[in-house]
Amino acid sequence: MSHQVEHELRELFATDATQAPGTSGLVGGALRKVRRRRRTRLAQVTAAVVLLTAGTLTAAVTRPRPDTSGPDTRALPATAAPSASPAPTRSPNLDAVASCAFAYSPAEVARRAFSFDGTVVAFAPRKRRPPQGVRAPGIQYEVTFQVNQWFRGGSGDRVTVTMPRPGNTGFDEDGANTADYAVGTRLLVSGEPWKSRQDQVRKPLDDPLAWWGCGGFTRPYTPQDAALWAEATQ
Amino acid sequence: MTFEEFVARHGADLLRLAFVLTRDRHLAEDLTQTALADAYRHWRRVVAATDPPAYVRRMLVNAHLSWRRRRWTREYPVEVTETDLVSPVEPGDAIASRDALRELLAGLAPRARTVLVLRYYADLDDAAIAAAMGVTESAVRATASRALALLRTAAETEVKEIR
Repeated sequence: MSHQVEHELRELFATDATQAPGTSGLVGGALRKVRRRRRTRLAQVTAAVVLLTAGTLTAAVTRPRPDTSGPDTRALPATAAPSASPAPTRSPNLDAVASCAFAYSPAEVARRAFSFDGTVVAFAPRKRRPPQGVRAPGIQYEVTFQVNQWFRGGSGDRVTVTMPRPGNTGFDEDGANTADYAVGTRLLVSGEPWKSRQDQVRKPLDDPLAWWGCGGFTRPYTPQDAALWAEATQ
Repeated sequence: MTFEEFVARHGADLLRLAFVLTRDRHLAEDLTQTALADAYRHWRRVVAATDPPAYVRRMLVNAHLSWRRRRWTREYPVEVTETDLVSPVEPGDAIASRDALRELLAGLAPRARTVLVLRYYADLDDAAIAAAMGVTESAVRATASRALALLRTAAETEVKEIR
């Protein structure tokens, strides 16, 4: 009986196989799926980056500034100019982010709370909740770096910063913003402590959040960029 | 080997396996394209594998089981439509026997059915089935043994009822 069932199964499957459809559209269909998946992923990543950066920029824009006697020489784009009245606590201003209130330059990196040259040694999904009042999709990762050189804001051998999840390649067509990572990847990282609107000025490495996009505040390591960052942050 | 060359050489095998697993032409095409799309995205890993066709077959099997998990509540097509499967002309008893077997197979859990397809259609040994499904060899043996026992019992019951 046992062999009979097995024999029947073989015959049944073999007969079924002869009725399989033709292979004419396989390559085209597979490549269409690849393109569709890339478009979906691109849209998801873009939305995630916008939301993630939004929290940081909104906090940075509304951060109470010290009352100095001299003029503040820091260049703030119009879209990011702080308003005269205190902003209400609400979701991040996506318009301000969409226009990249802070475009990348070594000088702008020097204005970030922290910046360093580091090599990824570990990463894992972030377990802590985002600061109160900051909307962020649940895809942040906590990435631990072996620091090769601090430019600003820290001094230890290791630091853990919050970043988008790995695999975020391709969201910037010219590649300038792309800073995908894996264990062993060497990056130049800059950013700010992640904070809500209510937070007062914090230490540079209080819940550090890497800035992503807008020209490459976090970018693959190159000696040239590292030299520019070092010069700008001196 | 390019992706296109791989599909030209192994696409038909994958599609046939997908069809035997799903017994649905459209689903089989979709499943095969999904596995090939995954392979395309990780092409360097595929060509670096010891056995690239086995690597992609594993992708296909995983996608199938994942789909089946998601569609577990969906009704499984016990009665195959004419457009889905046109059986060659056979004596009536054989057709009835195969239909009964199809019905019994449809009642099995997706993993059990997949083990049987990989063993009796793809002719894989337990180690290869285990690799394709991401389980242990002993799990494959146990699953196959239980599935065959169920089929045998059901077949015997059917014979007794006929007598």
